[in-house]
Amino acid sequence: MKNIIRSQLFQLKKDKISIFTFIAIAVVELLLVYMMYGTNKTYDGVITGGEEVARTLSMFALLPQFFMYIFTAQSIGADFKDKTCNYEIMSGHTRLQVFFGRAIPTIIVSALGTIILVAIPGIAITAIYGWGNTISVADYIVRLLLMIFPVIRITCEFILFSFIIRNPYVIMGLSYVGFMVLGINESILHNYTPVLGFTTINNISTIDFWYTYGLDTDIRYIYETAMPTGDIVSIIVVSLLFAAAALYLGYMFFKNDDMH
Amino acid sequence: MEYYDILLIILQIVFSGVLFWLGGFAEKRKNPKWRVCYLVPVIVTLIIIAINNFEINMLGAYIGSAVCLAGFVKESVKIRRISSVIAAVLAAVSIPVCLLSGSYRIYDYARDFKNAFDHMKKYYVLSEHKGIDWDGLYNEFLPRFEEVNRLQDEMENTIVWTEFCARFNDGHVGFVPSGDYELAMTEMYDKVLGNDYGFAPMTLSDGRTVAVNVGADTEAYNAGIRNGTVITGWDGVAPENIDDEAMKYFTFADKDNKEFYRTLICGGTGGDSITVTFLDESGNEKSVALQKIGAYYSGRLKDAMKAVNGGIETGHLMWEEIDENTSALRLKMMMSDSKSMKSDNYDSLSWSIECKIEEMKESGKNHIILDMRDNAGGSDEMVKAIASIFASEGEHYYCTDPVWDYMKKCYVTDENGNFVKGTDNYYTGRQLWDGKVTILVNANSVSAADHTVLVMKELENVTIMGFTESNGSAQGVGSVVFRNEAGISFSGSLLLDENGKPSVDSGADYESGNDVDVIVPFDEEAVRVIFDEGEDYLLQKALEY
Repeated sequence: MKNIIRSQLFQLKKDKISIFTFIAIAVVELLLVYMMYGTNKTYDGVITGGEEVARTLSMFALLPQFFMYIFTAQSIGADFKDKTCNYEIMSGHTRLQVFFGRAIPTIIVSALGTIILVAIPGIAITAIYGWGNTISVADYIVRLLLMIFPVIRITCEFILFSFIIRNPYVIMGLSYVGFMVLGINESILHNYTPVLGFTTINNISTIDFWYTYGLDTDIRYIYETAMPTGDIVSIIVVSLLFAAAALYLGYMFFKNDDMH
Repeated sequence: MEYYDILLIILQIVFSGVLFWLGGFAEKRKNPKWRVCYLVPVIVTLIIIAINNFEINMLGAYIGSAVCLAGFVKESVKIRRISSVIAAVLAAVSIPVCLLSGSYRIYDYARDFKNAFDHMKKYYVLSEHKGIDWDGLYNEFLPRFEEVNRLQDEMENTIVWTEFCARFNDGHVGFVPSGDYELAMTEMYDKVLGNDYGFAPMTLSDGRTVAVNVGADTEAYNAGIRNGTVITGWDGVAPENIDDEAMKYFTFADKDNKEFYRTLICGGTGGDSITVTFLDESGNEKSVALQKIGAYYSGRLKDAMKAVNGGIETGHLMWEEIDENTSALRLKMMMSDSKSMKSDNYDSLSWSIECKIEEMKESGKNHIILDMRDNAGGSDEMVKAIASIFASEGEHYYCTDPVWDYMKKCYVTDENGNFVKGTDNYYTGRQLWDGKVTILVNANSVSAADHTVLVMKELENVTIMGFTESNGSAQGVGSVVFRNEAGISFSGSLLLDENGKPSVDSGADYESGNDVDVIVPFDEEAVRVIFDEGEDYLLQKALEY
């Protein structure tokens, strides 16, 4: 399995689609940040990294999910397209090794890449204007780290679909359609139970706030960044359960698949 | 049962049937791709849960969809068929479980209360000023919301919230039920305000209680009670001692305002019949037993309130020519067009008023009435825009913003617990009008309307008048919205006066700091003009003054 993992990581360095996607999303995020905050002025004062994160984390948590879908589809589906998986099985690797040899690096790279993309806007603003005191860094990092769990879950679900469908472009198309169709439904988007991975990400990235104002003052936002312990535990448990179930189902499918 | 739950159960049963058949079909075709179909129930279930939220009583259907996964994992026809049957049975079992369970899709009203309470306790800016007993309120109202949970009664939820909000004596603390606000509040008041006995009692300025809004052809009317008839007894007690239980559903920020409406609001108190004593035309005391009539008292109260409180019947920001000397501008709120609201710039409104003033000067008029009765408030910039037209040239004080601690995210207080004054706010007077200005207000003139009273009562040529003071609630508002789209609003942003105290809002003494210049006595003449002649008595007084 180690060799398969190494070959996957090597392949990643050559995977133009995934690299392009990562860079494109990063550039789009930076452009959006510049359009929104380039003059260092918002309606109610000077922008800082903490302020940007508090206001727009939910928005910037949406775009990186495309990287997740595209990378997973490409990482798994491309190897079926060019029959790499067939050759690995023929060369003596077990189905277990082929499956998890792909799944493990996909999960790791997808999770890291997605979280990095989510963090880029905040890092960019902080580098220029500082973090400020809108929210604490610790609370932000907790939310980022918590976001890894639904990202892992979604990646595992897409690994399952990738092993079934095996065509990276079909998977990308279906994921885009599914994301758009589910995303426009208000009641899904604001669902509080950790049922779907992307609604869980939305809940983690949406920071509740209060605000005050005066006659001659800017609006002052007070962000409530602490997440209830119960919510954190349920997100982690549900995400890991779904991830494990997806990997199990994916492996069981692949194990008996005739590879045609 | 809810639509999506029924849909899920039906789909689950249909899927189970299809997958049952598919078990044999796939075996004949010897194609492993068909097992993907056994994922469909789980995917559909997850989507429906995402739309409609998780429900514990539907666990059977959820588990049934997961059981179908056995057909995905194992390619045995027997396992696939057994799992399909189990899935269908589990889905079907969900129906009686949901129907018979008392906890199906219950809405957690108590959770909304706890959430809103925590917010209010943290962010309500008048806690100290009004002496709010948070622990006492929590201990009193949480059990009531838990009872609402048990009853799953949205009406009862509205009633308890309304009572809770009234405790703050703050016109900015209020509950907005989900759905149609007017309908919900009407239904609530129908329930809590008691019976209609054919008339409404109202206390005059001299302390006597009279009948108003007497219904024609009612028992009261036939007994000789008319608008203005003095009521001396209500079901064995003096009218001033009528049980005022109904007052707990109304918010008044000032005790004088509350007293003005007290008898009127409590006019539904009593059983299926009450005994009313009154003075007939000869001045003799008579007694009559009045049966409650069909309609709720709330309808009669609403009509009486409208008659007493109602402003000039015209549109917002419309001018009415009252007489050869007077024009009146109706201000139902301190907001104008959407463009002005968006930019918070009221130059266009100022310009339109200036044009009107020029027109009035040319025609020799010398009196402007600003009718702000039932004004719901709005923008302070509009307050400044209007005040600047009538104020003398120069800077005029408006109010003071307190100092905000950006690190601790709270207002700064000194060692005595008083708010620290920050920037003083002023507006610039332009004195475009030399004539008389009268502003009409009532107890519903709130928020920015209170601000207007505050800044304009200082002006020499302006007279503020009403039967009562304005509402007395001038702080900035914030709100908490619940999952069912209901919500509460409360004073979340602070404004101070020159002395560093919260501007306008009453403290624990229940006296707002926004006195009007003239309290027009509500007397027999007022009753006759308003209820018999249907005329605007306050407007008449404004013309005479």
